[in-house]
Amino acid sequence: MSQDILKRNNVILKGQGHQIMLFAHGFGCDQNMWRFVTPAFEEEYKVVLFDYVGCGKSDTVAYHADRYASLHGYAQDVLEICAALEAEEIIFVGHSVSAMIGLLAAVENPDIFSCMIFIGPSARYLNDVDYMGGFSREDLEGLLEVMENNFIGWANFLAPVVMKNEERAELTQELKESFCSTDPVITRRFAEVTFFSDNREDLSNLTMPCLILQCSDDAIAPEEVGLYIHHKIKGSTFEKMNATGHCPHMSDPEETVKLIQKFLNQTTY
Amino acid sequence: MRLKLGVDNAVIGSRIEDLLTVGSRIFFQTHFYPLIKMKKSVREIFLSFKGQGDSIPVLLNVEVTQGEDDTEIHCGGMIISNRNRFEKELMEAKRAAEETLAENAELIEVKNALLEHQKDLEIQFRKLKSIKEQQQEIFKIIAHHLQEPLRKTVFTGNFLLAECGKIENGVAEKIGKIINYSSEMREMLLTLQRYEQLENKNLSYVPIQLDVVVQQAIREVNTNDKSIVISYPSRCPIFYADQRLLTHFFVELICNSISNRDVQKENLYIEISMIETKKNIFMESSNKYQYEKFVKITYTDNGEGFLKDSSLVFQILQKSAQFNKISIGMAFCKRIIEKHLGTIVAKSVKGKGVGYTILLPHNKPQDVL
Repeated sequence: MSQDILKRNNVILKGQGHQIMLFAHGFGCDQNMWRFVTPAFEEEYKVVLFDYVGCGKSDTVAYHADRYASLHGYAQDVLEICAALEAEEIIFVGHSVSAMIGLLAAVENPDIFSCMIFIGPSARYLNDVDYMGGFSREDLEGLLEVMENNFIGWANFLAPVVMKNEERAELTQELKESFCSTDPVITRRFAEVTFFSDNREDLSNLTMPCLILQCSDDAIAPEEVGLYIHHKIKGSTFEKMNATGHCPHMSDPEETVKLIQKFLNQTTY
Repeated sequence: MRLKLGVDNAVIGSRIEDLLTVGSRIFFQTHFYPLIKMKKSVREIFLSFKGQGDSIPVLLNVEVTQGEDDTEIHCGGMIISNRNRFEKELMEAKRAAEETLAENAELIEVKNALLEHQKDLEIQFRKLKSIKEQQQEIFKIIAHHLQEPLRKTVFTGNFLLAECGKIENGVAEKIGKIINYSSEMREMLLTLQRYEQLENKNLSYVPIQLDVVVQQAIREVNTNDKSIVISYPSRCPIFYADQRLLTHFFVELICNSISNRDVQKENLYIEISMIETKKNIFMESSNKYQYEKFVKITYTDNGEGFLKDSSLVFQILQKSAQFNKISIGMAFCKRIIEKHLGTIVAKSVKGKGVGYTILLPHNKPQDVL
């Protein structure tokens, strides 16, 4: 069972330390996006990388539409990986949507985590009454359209992919690499689950140390959203970064590493 | 191009993503940027630029070259408005075809699964029926047939003690013991009977306020001991459950905490808290997922903890032979939660107290399952 999970989620273990640092990738990419920051932690921690089912080199056969129609389904991936590793005192690092996935996992089973590190989190992307998530419904539908246009070449293989397209495997592989995602149908569904999620009510249920890394000028998770999360999670630490954009672990790995280390050194758990 | 974008020379030096539509900006951040960063080269990526009037669909190629001191990003693109329109039509047609195909495939799959489940259910149903019949038979023996000889034993014992005044003290003491054992056993049989009645009881679901239930349970425990401190949230979201049974559940837990309190500690602290969460309602079926609202109640105390393995706490019969009242009480508690289609997990650290985590569906079961 545990071996199956580790294979299903393409779990990779690195580093010489004992305590586990679990890095969870965001929407749009896979565990590769952590490669600029993880080396800094390999000496002191056991670094665990994985791909959500439907992303990267995970086992797409394990994708179940009902399960992954909710971020809770993705949180199950996290919890199942932790259980397979029989891990405790886990430091969870989640980028983008993985922040909320980690939050759901930590609320469900707080005993196995020691702290949460959120990079560019958002509790809800859509604007609402008294809440500025940053996007209107039309904006997000625009994203789905852009995605569709990018997967247009791929769309021709869409139906075959559903039915296992073996004879054109090399083409599928090429497309996988060029888009950093496994399957356009799954990627589209992941986009919908991500951008139409609302986890504002779950924030106050988190009961462990939590770091929020907020980029400057983040078009996806604006500063107001980061501050909103900071206020809702009691005792959380908020760090405004110099790094711009939505992927500080790629654009400014040094600053990202420095702030995570600072947090880990200050936190007693 | 500048004309189309509606920008002038001031645009030089600004970021490319600022010229994109919002949807494209998200795609840029989540896909485009990581790709450039990792592969240094991107081919035929579609992005929409904000135009004067309509947005401008563009296909881009990007190449990153690393010089000695700096990095250069070369970017070439072409507007594909016409092609885009054509593609959109194709996509539309394709989507319609795919939807039909997927729906059809899904329907066939669902139909087959349903048939399989029906067969499974039939087998399970038969098994359950036979188990239930056996169980009822056994309960009948325990609750009714065994009561009678015990009642007679107690009666005869009392008769002997009262009528035969000349029995030796030693013998009288032994008879007294027989009476006590028999009475204890009758007491246990009554508890078992209660357990059986719970099995056949229909729950009456009402909106529950946790604080009201806990207050009622505290009243029923009826203790004046000021060293017992019970904390619980004052305002909780409402959920649905059987109020009587849930109250009884907390009475059992609190009584249990009191009888297992750590005498070394001045106070017995009991902490009850609750949050709303979501869980997959298909807990026993693999590969079925439907996430519904649950309430998660946690109950902790600072008592002695269990002396035995936490997983055995809810068993009716304990290995230690002593078939005591408390263990039946906890088994009863577990049944109450299970009848609500919830779960209860116990953990205990010896000397640190017990902790129960209870998950209950937020709504009545007919609304969920």
